[in-house]
Amino acid sequence: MELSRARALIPLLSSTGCSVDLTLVGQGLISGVLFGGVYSLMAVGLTLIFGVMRVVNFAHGDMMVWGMYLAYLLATHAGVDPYAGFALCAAALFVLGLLIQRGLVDRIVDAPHEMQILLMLGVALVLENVALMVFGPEPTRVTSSLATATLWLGPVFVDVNRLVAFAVAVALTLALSTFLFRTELGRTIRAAADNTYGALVIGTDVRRVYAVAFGIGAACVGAAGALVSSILPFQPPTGLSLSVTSFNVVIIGGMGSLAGAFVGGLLVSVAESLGAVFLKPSLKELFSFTLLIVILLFRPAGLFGKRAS
Amino acid sequence: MRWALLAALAVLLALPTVLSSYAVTLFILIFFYGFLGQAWNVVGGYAGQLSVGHAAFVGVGGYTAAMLSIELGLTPWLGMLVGAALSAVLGAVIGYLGFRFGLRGFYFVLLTVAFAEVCRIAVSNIDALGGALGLYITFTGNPRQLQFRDGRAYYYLALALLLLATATAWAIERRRFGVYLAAIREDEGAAEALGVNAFAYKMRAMVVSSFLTGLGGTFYAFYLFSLQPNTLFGIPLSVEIVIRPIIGGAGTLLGPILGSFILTPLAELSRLYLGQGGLHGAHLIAYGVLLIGVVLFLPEGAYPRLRRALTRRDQSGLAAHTSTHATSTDADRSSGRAEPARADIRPRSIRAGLTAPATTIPAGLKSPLTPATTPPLLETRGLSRRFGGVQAVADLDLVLARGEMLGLIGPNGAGKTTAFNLLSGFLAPDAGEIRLDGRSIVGMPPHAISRLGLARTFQIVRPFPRMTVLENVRVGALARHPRAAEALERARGVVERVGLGARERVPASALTLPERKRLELARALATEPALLLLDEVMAGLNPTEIETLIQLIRAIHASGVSILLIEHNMRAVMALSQRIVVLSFGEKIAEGTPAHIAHHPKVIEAYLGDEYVDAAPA
Repeated sequence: MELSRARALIPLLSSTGCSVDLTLVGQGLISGVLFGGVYSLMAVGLTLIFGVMRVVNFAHGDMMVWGMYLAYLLATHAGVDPYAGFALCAAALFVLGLLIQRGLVDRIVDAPHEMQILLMLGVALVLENVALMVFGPEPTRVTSSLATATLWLGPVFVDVNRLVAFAVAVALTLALSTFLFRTELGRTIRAAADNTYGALVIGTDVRRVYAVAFGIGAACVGAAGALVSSILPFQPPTGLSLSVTSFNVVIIGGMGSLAGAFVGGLLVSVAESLGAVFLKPSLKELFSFTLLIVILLFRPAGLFGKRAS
Repeated sequence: MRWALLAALAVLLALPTVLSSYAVTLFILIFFYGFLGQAWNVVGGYAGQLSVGHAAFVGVGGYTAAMLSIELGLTPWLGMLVGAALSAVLGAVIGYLGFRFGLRGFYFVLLTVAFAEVCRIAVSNIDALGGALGLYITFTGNPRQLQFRDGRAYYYLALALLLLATATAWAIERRRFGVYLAAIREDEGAAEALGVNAFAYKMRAMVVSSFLTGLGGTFYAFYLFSLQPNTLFGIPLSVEIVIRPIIGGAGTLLGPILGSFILTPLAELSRLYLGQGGLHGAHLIAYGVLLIGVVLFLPEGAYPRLRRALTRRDQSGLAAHTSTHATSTDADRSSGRAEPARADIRPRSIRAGLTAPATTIPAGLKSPLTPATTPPLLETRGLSRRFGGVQAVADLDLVLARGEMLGLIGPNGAGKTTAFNLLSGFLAPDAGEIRLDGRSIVGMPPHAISRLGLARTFQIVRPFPRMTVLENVRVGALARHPRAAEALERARGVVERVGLGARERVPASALTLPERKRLELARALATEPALLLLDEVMAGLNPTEIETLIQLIRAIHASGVSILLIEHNMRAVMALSQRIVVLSFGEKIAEGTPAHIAHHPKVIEAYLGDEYVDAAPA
């Protein structure tokens, strides 16, 4: 009944000069929510790294692009579907994250913010341009067995690709929070995030915790990258805009807050996808950057976070 | 050094006559990126506000001049200034929002990135500005339209821009402006306590930087004859701007230039040779590796290291200066008077005598000898501040007469430091009134209170670690003596007076704790306060050091400075204070002479518990 009433409104809206089709809005809402799962997973990784080490991973999006290219390699050379290959991508990125933490980040954990940002910017440049050298500048997309499958829900269709990506991303986020709240190592990581000094005092191997946390953060984007590799065409510079999107999500949710990252991911994704319905698609980014500026100024702690000075 | 620079300049002026046209192009890029780096350096280096959105200023400057030229036929020579002015307005908006809302580190970076991206997307969507395709400028070769048939004209134009930005940075560096920016970069709170209006100086740095960068936008547009939103406003250009001064040495005069001479040829050659071989992005990998290397191994950048290596080599004694900062030596030279760069050879006692700090009370505060009918120097009524469930300071009434030395004691957590933070403007009270010399100072920022003559030290010392002892103290002296050279002279006197004369050229980070405590005191004293707030200056010192510090504080008091001191060392507080106020759980529980306080039952109870009251000495 709700739906029919909504449909009855459509001609009314059109006749008053508003050309927005409610089906389009519903479509935007659904694909926004579904894609938001991936944004959430990406942001959970970033916020975990920040929460534990107070280091902002400027290479986050570039790590994700590497996850995408790994999924691409698995699909083209070994015939592994990205929805099965994501675990391998996550594992590979875990190792990459671990190495970056041990080799570089570990030396600047206590350095001023500016130095950390510059170092991570350097890592981002290297990751992006090595990808450019290896894979070239052309946009790529992985073909998945699910690529063309759709489900119809009344007037709107659901892209099965996105539905699976959403389900896996949410499952991974839940698994991660179970790990953090229910296991010994997870609790240790949270303790170190809460109070590094206190964790040191009680004999925690903080360096190991840092390395594991960075590895998990990277694994999150490794999986997220694989999950969207058949939805989003990508090329090496995609990493930059993915980094910026993750910052956006994390700031909106609150730096260091897992719940904030999860909800923020859904919010930003829905906002972008509705923005694309109401505005020119090229303006949807304008929408999220404006939102970012407003949040930075008026609620820098985000929706869920404590203010990090 | 100066002659070497002039010789280098002469070579650069003569060079185009012998260079191939490709080499001329390379030098144009070196100068232009050096110029952009130098412009960024004003706010990103000297003031330490990391902007990764400077491309926005290039874009606004370039688009403005191009539109004025295309639509109105205005010559870009003027359009350049209009564009730069608009960039400065944008810089002021970003700066105002970022600094007023207190965004630091990562948050400020994101704000600048977000603004640049908003500009990029907006311009890409405005058809009147050419949309995503951008604008094209028809080549006329007319110098009035900033177009030249001979590439060497662009060479000189780019060199002129580089010299303009460098001269601006040099002028800033040797003035109070530059010293204050360095202090803000090192520790903004400590700078505020010394009378530095951090917000105003950061704003000025941002405006100067964005204006210069905006000039560069016009050059960029009229050198390439085309403007695309993605190249002119994009994050990659912002990274190009940031990376050179950082690799060369952010916050140094020659760092951005050195950085450009290292990176620009590297980028161009790798683009030329590796890019043609299908290896795109090789130069960016090199950038990334260099950036990582600089952060890990050369966090100050290449130039400071190079300078140290050079000065070590020609350490003939006379010209050698061990200062790690260009600012002090440049200020020495900038002195109009005969201030020799070499060490002063007069006996230390004479120097101290000649340059002893003025004991005059700053304008606005009356002399300590005014009659008792005038208001007390400091007075608080009902001062209160709560943190969550803790009432840190409760209904505090405090009176400090002019010329008095008042002790403030109490057990840990009694609210002493909170009281200091309220008095000096670092915290706002929930309720109550604070009057300095009869004038209400509630709601004033710390720098304004410092200017009125109230100076403070911090319990946990906060020196500017990368400045020398003398430079640290000079920041304080600049509050009353805006001329850099004069302030240096004053600072030297204060440094002598607190007994750090032999250490004046040592970086503050290399001092021992007792020396840092003295430095903290010297810096506050250099602001020539009427009232000095000392927060546990004796903590961590041994008995001999305490004894000398007591003598020093007595001498400072005798020179006419009123003092309020928080102290846990009872011997010191009893020896120094004329009167003592005791706080416990935020409330004043006793007040009186040292002898009176020592036997006050409430005080003994607060410190030792009520079972000790009877055991008190009679």
